[in-house]
Amino acid sequence: MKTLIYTISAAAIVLCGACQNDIDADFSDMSGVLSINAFLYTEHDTNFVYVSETALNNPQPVNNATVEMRVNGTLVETVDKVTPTIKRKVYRYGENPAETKNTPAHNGAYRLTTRFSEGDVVRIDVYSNGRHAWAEETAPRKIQNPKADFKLANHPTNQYIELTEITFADFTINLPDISPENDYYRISAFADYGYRQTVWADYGYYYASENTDSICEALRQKGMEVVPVEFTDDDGNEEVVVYCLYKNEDNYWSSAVGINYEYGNDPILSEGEMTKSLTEDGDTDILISDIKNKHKVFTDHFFNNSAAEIQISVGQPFGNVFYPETLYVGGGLERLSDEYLKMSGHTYNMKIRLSLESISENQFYYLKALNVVESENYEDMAMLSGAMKIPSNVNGGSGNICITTNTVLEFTVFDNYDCPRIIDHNSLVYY
Amino acid sequence: MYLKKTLFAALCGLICCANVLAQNKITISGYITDRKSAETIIGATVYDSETQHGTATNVFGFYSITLNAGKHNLTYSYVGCQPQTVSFDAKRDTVINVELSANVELEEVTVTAKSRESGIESTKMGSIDVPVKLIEHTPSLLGETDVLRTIQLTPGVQQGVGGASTLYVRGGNGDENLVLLDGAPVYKIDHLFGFFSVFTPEAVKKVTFYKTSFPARYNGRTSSVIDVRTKDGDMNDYHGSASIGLLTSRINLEGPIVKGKTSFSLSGRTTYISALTKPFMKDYKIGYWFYDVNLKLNHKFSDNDRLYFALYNGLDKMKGEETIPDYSTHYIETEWNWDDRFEPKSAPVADYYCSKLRWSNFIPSLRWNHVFSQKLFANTTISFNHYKMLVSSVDETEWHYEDLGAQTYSSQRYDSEIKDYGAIVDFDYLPSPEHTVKFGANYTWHDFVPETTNSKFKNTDEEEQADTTTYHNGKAVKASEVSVYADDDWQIGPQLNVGIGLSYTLFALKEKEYHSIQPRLSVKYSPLSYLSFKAAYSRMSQCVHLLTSSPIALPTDLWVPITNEIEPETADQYSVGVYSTVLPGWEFSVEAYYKEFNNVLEYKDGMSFMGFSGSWTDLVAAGQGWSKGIELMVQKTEGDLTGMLSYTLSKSDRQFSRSSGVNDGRRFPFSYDRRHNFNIVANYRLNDHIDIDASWTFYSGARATLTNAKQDIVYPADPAISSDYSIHYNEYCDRYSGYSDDYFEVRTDNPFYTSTVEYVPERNNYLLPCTHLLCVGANFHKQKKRCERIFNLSLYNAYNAMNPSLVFFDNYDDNGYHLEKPRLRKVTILPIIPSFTLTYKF
Repeated sequence: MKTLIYTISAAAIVLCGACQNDIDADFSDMSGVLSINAFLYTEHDTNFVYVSETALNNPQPVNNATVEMRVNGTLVETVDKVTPTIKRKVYRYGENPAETKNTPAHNGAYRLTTRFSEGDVVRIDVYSNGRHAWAEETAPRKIQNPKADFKLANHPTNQYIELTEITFADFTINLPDISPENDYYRISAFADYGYRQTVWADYGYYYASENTDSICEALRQKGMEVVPVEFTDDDGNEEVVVYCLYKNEDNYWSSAVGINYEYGNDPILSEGEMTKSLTEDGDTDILISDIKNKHKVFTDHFFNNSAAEIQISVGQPFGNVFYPETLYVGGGLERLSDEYLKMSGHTYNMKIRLSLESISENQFYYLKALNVVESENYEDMAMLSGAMKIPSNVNGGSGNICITTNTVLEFTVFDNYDCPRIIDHNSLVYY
Repeated sequence: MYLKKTLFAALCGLICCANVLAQNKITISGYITDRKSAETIIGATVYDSETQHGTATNVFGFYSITLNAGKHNLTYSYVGCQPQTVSFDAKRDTVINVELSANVELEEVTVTAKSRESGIESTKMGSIDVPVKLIEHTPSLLGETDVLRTIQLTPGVQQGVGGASTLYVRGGNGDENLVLLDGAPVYKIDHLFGFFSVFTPEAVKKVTFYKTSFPARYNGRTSSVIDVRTKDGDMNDYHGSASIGLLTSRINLEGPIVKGKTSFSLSGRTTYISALTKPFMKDYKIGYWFYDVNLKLNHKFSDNDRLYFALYNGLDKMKGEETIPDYSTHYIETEWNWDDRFEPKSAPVADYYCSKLRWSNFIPSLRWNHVFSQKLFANTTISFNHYKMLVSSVDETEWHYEDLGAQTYSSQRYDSEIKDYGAIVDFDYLPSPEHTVKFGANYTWHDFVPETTNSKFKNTDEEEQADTTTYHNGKAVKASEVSVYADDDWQIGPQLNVGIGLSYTLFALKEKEYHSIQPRLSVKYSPLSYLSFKAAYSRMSQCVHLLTSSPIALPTDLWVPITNEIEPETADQYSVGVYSTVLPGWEFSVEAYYKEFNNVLEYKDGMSFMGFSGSWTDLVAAGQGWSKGIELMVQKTEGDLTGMLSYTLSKSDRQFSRSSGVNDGRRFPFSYDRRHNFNIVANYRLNDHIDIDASWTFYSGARATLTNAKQDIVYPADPAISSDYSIHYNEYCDRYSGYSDDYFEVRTDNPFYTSTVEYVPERNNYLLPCTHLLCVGANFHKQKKRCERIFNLSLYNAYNAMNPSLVFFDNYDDNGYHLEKPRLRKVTILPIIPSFTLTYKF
C-alpha cells in the first residue's frame, strides 16, 4: 500500500508537472575519497579490510594502502600489501568435503591476523597517497547462553505453485539481552547439506510386440529398467511398447551456505510490523511497508534486560532443491505410473547453523540503511526526498568498520532422511 | 505540585493587588459588534483620549477598560469600520455595547490592524492579523483562496515544495506550527496532498499569526501559532454566498435562528476532481474527493452569557480500482519448460484490486462565555478532536489451471487515529488600564493510535474449502497534557509596555512525565506615537511530532507523541524590532531574531519512515538547531493601491552529536535554509467594479541532498543476501541440467561481498536554483437585483517560471537511451495555470 502511495505521488508529480528540464550539476569533486569497509569478527584469526575510493561511476579498489590495526590503543599489526591469495574450499560432487586451493585475491582486500576479544577497542587506520581514514569501534559483548530449538512444519506458500505447502524448520530462539543498555543484534543462518537423488530417466522405447520378454531382459542387462506397455493400434492389433529408463544418481554437497530465512510475524525482527505469509514474493505479503528486514538486524527494545523469544523459519537454501516435484523424466512418456515414481529416491542430510550475533551500533544502522536502499520503492523515495546518506563511522573518508561477536548453534535437521512427498503426484503433469 | 501551588498563589496575589489599586475607579465593559450582522468583532480598539489608555476586544468581542470616575470620551474603532466616539460621565461601572458600521469608503485590504495583538500598538512582536479581505484578495492556485498561502507571503515564512501549503517558519519544521480552529488544534491541515488548506475562507472571521511573542495561552509547538476564528453567524439577517471554481465549489449561509438571540453560520466546500479526470482513466480508475463543513451556532442568553457550538468536519477520500477480467488464455497456452519449472503453473484468470485512502478531521466544540464582572471575562471550552486516517485494499484473484481452480481474497486495513478530549478555561482580567491579565488552564487527554493494522486472507481451493487467516496489530499511546498560564500586558508608562507571561506544561505518559516551564517576555518602548522599539524572548516546547519522509504532505505521515526516550523539543527565541507609521497609511517594521532549537528531530543517516512506525525512536536522533534572520516589512494600508512588501534574510542549520548518526556530527543547513526571500502583494481597486490583485515571490534556492559519486560497500558474510547468491543458484541449475563444470560451490574462508551505492558526503549539500513566481488575479463585481456577482480570473505562475519543485538524477536521455553520465533534472510541478471562480453573494 505504501508502495502504491509513493508510486502515485511520484507519478502525479511527474505527470502533473510534465515540465522537466536539465540543470547544471554543479558539484564539488566527490571522487577519490578513501572508503574503508570491514566486517570484523571477534576471536577470528583472519579478518579482512576492504579499501577502495569513491568515483563518479566505478569506485576502484585501492591496492597500495597501508592498513594499521590497533587494539586498546596498541599498534598490533601493519599490512601494506593486498592479500596475495585467499584460501578457498572447493566442493565436488560426491565428495564430502572437497579439496582446498588458493585462488587470486580480491583487489583491495587486506588481511588482518590479530585476534581480538569482546570489549576490546579496535581501531583501523588506512593510509594511501597522502590520505588517511580511520575508524574505531568497541567489540560487542557476547550473548550469554542463547538457546534454540526447532521443529519441522509445513507452511502454505504461493512461491512456486499456488495452494501448496513446503517444509520449513521452525526455530524458537531464546536470546538473553546482554545488558540494560542499548544492544544490537543480528541472526544469520547457514546450512551444510548433502543430497542424493536417484532419477529414472527416459532412454527410449522399442516396439516389442513379438519378443517382449527377450528385449526386456536385454535392456535390463544394460542396467536399465523397462516398462512394457500394451496398447491397441488403429487397426485393432495388440502391440507392446517397451519404455526404457536408466537410473541416474546425483550427489550434491555444500557447506556454510547462507540461508535467507523468514521471520513471519515475529515482533522483534519485524519491529511489530505484520506480514502475511512466510514467502517473500508478491506485493501483498507485506502489509504496509515494502522495507523488509532483509539483513535481519534488531535492537533489544522489546526485551531490554530480559530474554527474547524469537521465531524464525528456515527453508531450503536456493529455493526448492529438495522438492521431489523436480523429478525429470524427459520426453516420451505421457505419464509414469505410481510404481515408477516410487523408484526415484531422495535422501539428504542437512545441518543448520544459527549465528547469533551481537553487533555494533553502527553496523545496526548501516544494515538497516541497506534495508531501505534495497527496498522496492527506494528510487521513488529518493526522487521525492533526495539521495540517502549511508551511515558511516569512518573519519576522513567513508565506509564502515563493523565488529561482530557471535555465538554459533548447530542443529541437524535431516540425517539420511527420505524426502517427504509433500505434493500429490497425481496433480503433476509430465511431458 | 509545589509549582502548581506557587503559580496559583501568584495569580491570586496579582488579582488581589490589582483590586486594591483599583478602588477609586470605574470599569467600562461590553461587546463590540458589527451593526449589520451583530457579529462580534475581534481586535477592535477602545481608546480614551483623555488618559491615552486603550484596550482591545478579545477573541469573543469583549472589552473592558478601567478608568477614573468622571467624564470620558471613548473611541471605538476597527479597520474597515467607521470609528465611534461615546462620551459619558461615569460614576460607577457601566456596560457599553457598541455597534460599528462598515465604512464603505475604506474597503482597502490591510494586513494588520492597530490592535493590542499585533502591529505598532501591540507589545507583542512577530504577530500579524490576517484579515479575511487580504485572504480573499491574494492570488492563489486554481482560484482557491487560502489562509495558509496568504501567511506564506509574510516575512520569515517559507513554503516548502512549490504550491504546497506547508509552512516553515523561521527555520522551524513543518510540524512545528500550532494551527487552531476556534481554539482546538487541527492535526491535518491540508487537502489534496498539501495543495489546499482545510480552511474555507467564507467560514473564517479572523486569523492571527504569531511567530515571536507567543501569548502564554499558546503552547505545544515551537515555531508558530495560527489562530483561526470562524464566523458566529449574522444575528439580524440571512445572507450567504456561493462560488463555483475550476476544482471546487463553496457555499456559505448565515443568519438568525432567533433574531438577536441565536444565529448560525454554515459553510461547505467540495471538489469534483474525479468527474474532471474520469474521461482520462481507462484500466486503472482513480477517484478523489474532499469536502469541508463548518457549522457554528451562537446563542446569546444575556449580555453576560453566550454559548457557542462549533463543528468542523473535513474528509479526503481517494479510491483506486483495477479489474483485469481475463488473461487466462495467454498464460494457459504458455508451454511448460525446464528453465522456468519453478514458475507458477497456475494462472490468474480474473483479478480485482481496489485501494482506498481517506483521512478526516472531526472537531466539535462547545464554548461558554461568561462575564463574571466587568473586569473578569471567562471562556470555558470543551472540545473533541478526532483525526483519522485509513488505508485499505482488497485483492481478489481467481486462479485456474486445467481442472484446478481456486480463489484468493485478501483485505488489508491500516488506520491511524488521534482522539483529543480537551477542556479549557481562559480568563481575561482587566484590573486597570495598565494591566491586561490573561490566565487559565488547559487539560487534554490524548489518545494516539498511530497505527493499527488489520488483515484478512482467505484461500478457497477447488473443493470449496476455505482457509481464512486474520491478523490484527495496534498499540495505543495515551497521554495527559496539562497547562496553566498567566500573561500580563502591563503598560508601565505612556511609552513603555511590558508583556510578561509564564506557562507551565505537564505531559504525562504512562511511564514518564515531562515538565516544562515556558517564560515569555516582550518589551515595547514608544518614544514617538509613530515609532516603537520592541524586544522579546519566548520559550516554546513541543510534545508531538509528525513522522514523514517526503516533502509532500502525505496522509500516511503519522503524528506521534514523545516517548520515554525522546524528550520534548524546545525553542528559545530572541527578537528585537523597530516599527513605524511615520507616513500616514504606511507601516514599516524591521525584526531581527535568533532562535535555538533543542531536541529537534532528524532521521538518522540511512533511515527513513516509509511505513511502519514500530520503532520510530530508533530512526531519529535529537539534536540542536539554530536560526537567525532579519525581516523587513512595508505595508500600505490606505488608498486604492494597498499591499505589502517583505524581505527576509535568514540562515538556519542543524547539528547532531557524532554518535547520533546524523551527518557524521557535522553542522549542515536546514532543508529550507533559503538565504533570501522577497514578497510583494499588491491590491489595486480600479473602480467600483474591478479590482486587481498580484503577488510576486522570490526565494533563493533551498537545499537538497544529491550526489553524482559512488562508493563501494561490503555485505556481511551471508551469501543468501549477497550478489553471489545468483552465482550459486545458476551453478546449481547448470549442474542439475547436466552442464556444470566439475565443481559448483566455492566459498572463501572469510568472504565479503561488495556492492556499489551512492556516495553522499553531506546532507543538504546541493543548493537548488532560485524560485520566483508571479500570480495575478482580477475580480469583476456586478451588483444584481438580489445579489452581487463576482467573477474572478486568476493566473498562477503567470510567466511560467520553471521553478524546481524537485530535482533528481536521470540515467536516460529523452529517447530512453542510457547515459554514461547521468543528467540532473528539475521537475516543475506547477507551471502556468489559469483559473476562474464565479461567486454570488446574496
